[in-house]
Amino acid sequence: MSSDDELLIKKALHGDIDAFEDIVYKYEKMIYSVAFRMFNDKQDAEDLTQEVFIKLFKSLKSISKKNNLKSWLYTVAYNASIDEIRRRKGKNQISSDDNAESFINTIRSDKPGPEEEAINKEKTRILENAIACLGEKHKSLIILRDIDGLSYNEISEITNQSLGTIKSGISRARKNLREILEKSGEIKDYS
Amino acid sequence: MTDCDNIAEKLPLYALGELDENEKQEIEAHIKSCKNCRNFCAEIKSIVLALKNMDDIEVSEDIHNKIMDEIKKINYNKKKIKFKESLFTAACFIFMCIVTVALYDIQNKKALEEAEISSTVRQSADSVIDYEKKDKAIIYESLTLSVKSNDINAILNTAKYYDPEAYLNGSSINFKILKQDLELLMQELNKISEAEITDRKKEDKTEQYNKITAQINSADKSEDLKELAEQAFFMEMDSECFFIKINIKNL
Repeated sequence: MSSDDELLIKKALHGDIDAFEDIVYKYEKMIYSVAFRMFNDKQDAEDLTQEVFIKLFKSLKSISKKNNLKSWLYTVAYNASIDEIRRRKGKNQISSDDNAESFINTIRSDKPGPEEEAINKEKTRILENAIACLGEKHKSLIILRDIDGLSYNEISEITNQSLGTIKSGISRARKNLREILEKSGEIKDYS
Repeated sequence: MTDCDNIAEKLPLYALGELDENEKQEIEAHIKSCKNCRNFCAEIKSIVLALKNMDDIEVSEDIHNKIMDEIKKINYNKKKIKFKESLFTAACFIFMCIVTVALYDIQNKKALEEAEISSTVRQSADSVIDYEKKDKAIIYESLTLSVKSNDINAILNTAKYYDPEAYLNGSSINFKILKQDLELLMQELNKISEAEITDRKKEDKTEQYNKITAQINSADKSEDLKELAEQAFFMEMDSECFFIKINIKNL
């Protein structure tokens, strides 16, 4: 754990709520981004982010010096979002296949006009929607590796999977993402 | 299976330079001559670069405040529980202290009662008297000392030094000492407590003593003799002794 994080946690353990707030300021964007990209929904992202920091607050004592706080937060966010998505799937609230179909149809029928956002922002929107169509495992791998830039070792620790499994998963996730963009007619922008 | 199929799984990793040297060379050899795989790699690379350059997602102050409000609520409840636990612990501690003091007090009273009982028994057993004091005046001198102390045993032990027959009687200790030892006794009592003489009197018991002596001499039943002996025991005081009664007052 970095010495800054260690000090903040120590202070927070002694009841310094401002120290804990500093931790929140430091990592809330990171966690919120993961959450938003996993759910593609602001409210869900907000709920998950809150859940992660509440879990952190309640677990301060058990976070040892050995733990990397950033990895710990990613792990909690990853597990919580995977669990929630699977729970909703179980209740038939979401389906990645349905999402892919509706995304592709939306892209085909709802082309942006010149008055809409700049090309980069539009690309972001399309990419976010395409990512939303992936299964939760592939989605999380794309977020952790290709968006957040974590190393394979870090991802292996967070997801509790072997390096080989992670690499194989990333490969398939990128392939699937490409296919979604191809089917929606957006792949020409990436040729 | 074509060469393309063989390497399809690895191309998304190759595109981002994530393969080891051997696997890299295998794929490079293939894509030199395969346009489809080359295009595929280019597309993957472009997509991943676009992913890296996606706009940051900002967290509004509103979201931050909601998180901290919840944390502060949990912290407050945690403190409330901790405070209640402290109160409970303190209450348990006080209860344990009270129980301990009560047990000590009961034990102490039991010890005092036992001492009193044993000294009473001893008095009865030791009632062998010398009846040769007919011509001597029997003068009781009794003193009452008031002693402030929490340690009854210490006072009793001091008394027993002068009179092994010293005994407890409720919250007072009764014993005999020679007049010449009174000053020393007061000094020792004042080391462990606050002691002062509150009453002093003399009683001439010569006639009473002589009466009991006569009765003993004429008694023919052992039970009568025993009772008379007890009475005589208490009569065996002379003007050279004090019959001391210490009233113990707890501090």
